[in-house]
Amino acid sequence: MVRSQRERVSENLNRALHAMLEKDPRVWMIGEDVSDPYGGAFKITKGLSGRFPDQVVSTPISEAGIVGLAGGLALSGERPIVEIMFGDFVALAFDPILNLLSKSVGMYGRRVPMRTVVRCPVGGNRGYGPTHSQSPQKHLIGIPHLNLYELSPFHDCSALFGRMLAAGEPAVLFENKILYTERMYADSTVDDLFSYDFPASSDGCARVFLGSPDAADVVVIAPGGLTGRVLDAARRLFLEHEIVCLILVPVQLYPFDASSLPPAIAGAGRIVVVEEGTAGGGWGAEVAACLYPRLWGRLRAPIRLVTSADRVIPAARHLEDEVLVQADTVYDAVLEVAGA
Amino acid sequence: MHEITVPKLNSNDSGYLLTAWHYSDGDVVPASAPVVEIETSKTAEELSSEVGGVLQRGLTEMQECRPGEVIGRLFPDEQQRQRFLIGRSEEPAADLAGVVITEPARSLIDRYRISQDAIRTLSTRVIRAVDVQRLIDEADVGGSRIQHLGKSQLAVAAVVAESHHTIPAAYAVVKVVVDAALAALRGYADRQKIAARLPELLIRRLAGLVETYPMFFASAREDGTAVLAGQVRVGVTIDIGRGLYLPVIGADAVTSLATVTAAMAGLRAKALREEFTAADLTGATIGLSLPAGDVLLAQPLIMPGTSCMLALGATHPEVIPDGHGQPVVRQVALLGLAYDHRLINGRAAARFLGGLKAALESADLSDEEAAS
Amino acid sequence: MTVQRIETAVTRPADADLDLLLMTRHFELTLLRLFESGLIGGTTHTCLGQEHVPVALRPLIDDADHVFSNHRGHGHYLARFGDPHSLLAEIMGREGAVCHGIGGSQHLRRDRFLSTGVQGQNVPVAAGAALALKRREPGQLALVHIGDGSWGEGAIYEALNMASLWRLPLVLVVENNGIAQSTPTAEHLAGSITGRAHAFGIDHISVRGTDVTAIRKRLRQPMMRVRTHPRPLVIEFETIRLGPHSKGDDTRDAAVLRALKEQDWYARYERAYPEQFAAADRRQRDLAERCAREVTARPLVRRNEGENPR
Ligand SMILES: Cc1ncc(C[n+]2csc(CCOP(=O)(O)OP(=O)(O)O)c2C)c(N)n1
Repeated sequence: MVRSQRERVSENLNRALHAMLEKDPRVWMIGEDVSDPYGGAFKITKGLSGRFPDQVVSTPISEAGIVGLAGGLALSGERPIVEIMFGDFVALAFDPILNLLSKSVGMYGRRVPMRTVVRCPVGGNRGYGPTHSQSPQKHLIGIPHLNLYELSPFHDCSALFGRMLAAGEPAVLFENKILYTERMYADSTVDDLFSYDFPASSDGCARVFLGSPDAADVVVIAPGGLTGRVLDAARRLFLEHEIVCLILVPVQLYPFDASSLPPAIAGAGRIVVVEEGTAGGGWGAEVAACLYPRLWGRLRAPIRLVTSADRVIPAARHLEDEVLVQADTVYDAVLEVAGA
Repeated sequence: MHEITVPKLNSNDSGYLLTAWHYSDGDVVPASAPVVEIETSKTAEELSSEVGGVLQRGLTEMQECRPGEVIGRLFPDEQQRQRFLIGRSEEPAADLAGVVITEPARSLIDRYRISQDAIRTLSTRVIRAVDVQRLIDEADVGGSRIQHLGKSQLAVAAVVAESHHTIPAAYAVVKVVVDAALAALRGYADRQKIAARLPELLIRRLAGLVETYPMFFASAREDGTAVLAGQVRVGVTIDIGRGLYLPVIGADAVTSLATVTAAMAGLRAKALREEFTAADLTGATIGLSLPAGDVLLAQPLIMPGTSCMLALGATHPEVIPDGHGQPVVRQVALLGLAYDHRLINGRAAARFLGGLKAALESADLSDEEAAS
Repeated sequence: MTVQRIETAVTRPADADLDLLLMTRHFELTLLRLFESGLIGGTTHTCLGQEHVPVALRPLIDDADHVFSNHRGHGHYLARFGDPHSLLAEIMGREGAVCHGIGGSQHLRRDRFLSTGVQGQNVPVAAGAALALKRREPGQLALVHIGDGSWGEGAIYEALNMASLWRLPLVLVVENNGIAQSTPTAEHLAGSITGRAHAFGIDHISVRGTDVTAIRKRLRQPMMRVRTHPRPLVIEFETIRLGPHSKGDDTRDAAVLRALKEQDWYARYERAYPEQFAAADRRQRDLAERCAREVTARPLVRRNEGENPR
């Protein structure tokens, strides 16, 4: 383990929010318990209410209400960022997301910019139980004018927020809670084995590689929240079996731009897509559906999807472990695909 | 010795930052005194140990640590700390710090006993099996080629070196005419369906010489005595391309030509499968070297613990004049003997070789056939 | 936020009530200790300061009534079942866990008791149960606990509207502890809960203090009326949250917490009935300790295919 004073992901995110609110008085931070001294359930909004009292609103426990409210602000030309305390409760705001934020962009005959970001802390492995551990990404896939993003330890949040608000379409940002206390990667280095870069054509997708980015046995596509687990697996796969993984971490989950993926993906011919959501109708299926037509004939094995089990997420840590995707799950899947 | 481990400080962080040590290596830390400061994503925590002692730090400041990790040690006294440090510096891995070695690479390194120096010549941070294989095949160093020895060759080297180092050897050779023996072995093979050859016959004949020549089945000791084994246990060289082995044909296997032949076949099969056990390879009281191919004569080593080793060269034709001055062809083989000059002199060696030569040249195998 | 000290004479509690109060108190304190020592992970919300609410209600509800609980539900569970082992096992994921370690602290279900960690969700659910009871088991009621903060959720108003319209035997117990996570009630709730109940034509009873005997006496009649003449009822307990919202996340300052402690039933009962209190306190402290030791030593709960097919 090497010394590192790299910024924690939560600090990077907090810094980005400070920058957004400072740069643009039309940017708001809205959510339950987001004001100081509490600064949000995960402390992501720390220091904002003190610095920008007019732009930060601590709300009642009213998810549907505050996302609707954000819609009203966006229609008025404002740029609200909403924090849903636990991403599971984005379900309560599904109506304003589906029928208001995203629809407003296109249903009035001419484009109405809806600049708003709904931030959702998601994911498990913390023993929070069935209604506080989910990864609801898949429930929001496929809605016209709704862009989905995921926090990652590679992507700087300031740039990400700039991009989300500039799109003129509502965005949902999924933040895997496990990342908050992790550190951001810097200087193209992941560890003693892996490096990373952002290939020019790749829509901000981070490319994590071992040795050369063009030589990999298996390509693993995983959103930011899975980075730690996928890297653990990739490390063991290399050390134990000399299987070389190329890991792609897209920052935008949906719409997923398959054409922007680096060419190595075709060379490897073996692809694994990982997500923390439960099995069935997931993001991985969407990615695979985008990749098949492009890679047909060049794949050496079917695209392998890795998801959590098709089960409720238990509170007890040892049971939760079994249900959620772990490094071992990824390891086994890659090993299988590599041998195929 | 007491290990300072990192407790689980909260349920969110997988790792913390070691921010400060309050003592240096070798300092005496009192029990319950704060010894190190750890920073989590939320707070900074002081850790103290319930027992005191002399500190040896495991991590430096500003390194990351994980719950359960040992970050330092407390020793009852300075002497024990020093002992720990010495023990630690002998660990080989320390030198290759910063180099990542895959498990397939590591198993090659272990198998071929590749040195750290050799690994360092790879000058790559990540070492895979192919890199090591390259070292094994040949590494180009300053124009000359270096071949790394395998485990079994290194074992051979050790035995040879010890032999040459400890046993003053002398050497003698006789010529054995083998036409009659070969004819007898052919007849034996036809009737018994047992493909015995000269080496088997030689081993069988050795059995009859123990009584007469005990010093050739003996081992020299430092105090000027010799231990007479009184038993034939022949260590035979076998090299079928997988390294040189010296498995032993025991006393109970030399009771007939048939048992010797079976024992030799068994040893060759084991060599093929590389499955000799320690018992197969120990306890020889005499050695027999069987040079491969057309080699006529080889100087064998004397295995430490024995007094001599025979070498039986390849059978080859020889032309000599017969009684009438006419050339005739006969089959001969050279039989050499390397012997420990501390126990055996040239004259005794000549008699032993002569006895063995006579036993080989008398072609009568009727006893063997009667026995089987 | 201002805290005023309300000191009234306390009725001598029945031994059973005092035991239940203290069982809950020591259970929660033990939980926080287990968390601190790393023996429990995840999250939990203790009901420190609010234990008297379910204790006062306990004899007013029977086994055929439904009780719906929320994230702060340990006291509700203990009052109903008096069984700390199955709850602690659930929270620790050990054998004997009431929901096989799946639900955890916030998602409990046993007989006609059900809790969830989604704020406000249980109010329409309780209305549904009340509808079923009214149809199938007249005389029974559904009781649902919510905090003041959960009044932010729209589903509550939809439920109150239906419950009042359809005259459902629904008791909405509001534990107004003056705070929601970090937000004081005044900053998240406009108007009043009384006003909101009245807006739907629903009776509202305000309960102050922690005297379980007195509170129970006061509520007996109105609760009975819900059974005999079904109509929803809102009972608002003015109470305090002594502990953090979850763990280590209290941002209130020390002076406020000290003042709250003054209102704690624990100190009051101790002052008023020292001997009775001391004996019960010892009993329950021991029980909590034994329970923690015993449950901690149990093996981890095994995955139960039958109970958790998915
Ligand atoms: C739908 C939903 N939104 C947010 C949360 C997160 N959360 C859990 S408890 C809580 C505060 C609840 O306050 P209150 O209802 O007053 O109950 P108290 O915690 O004071 O007992 C919040 C916001 C949640 N569990 N469910």
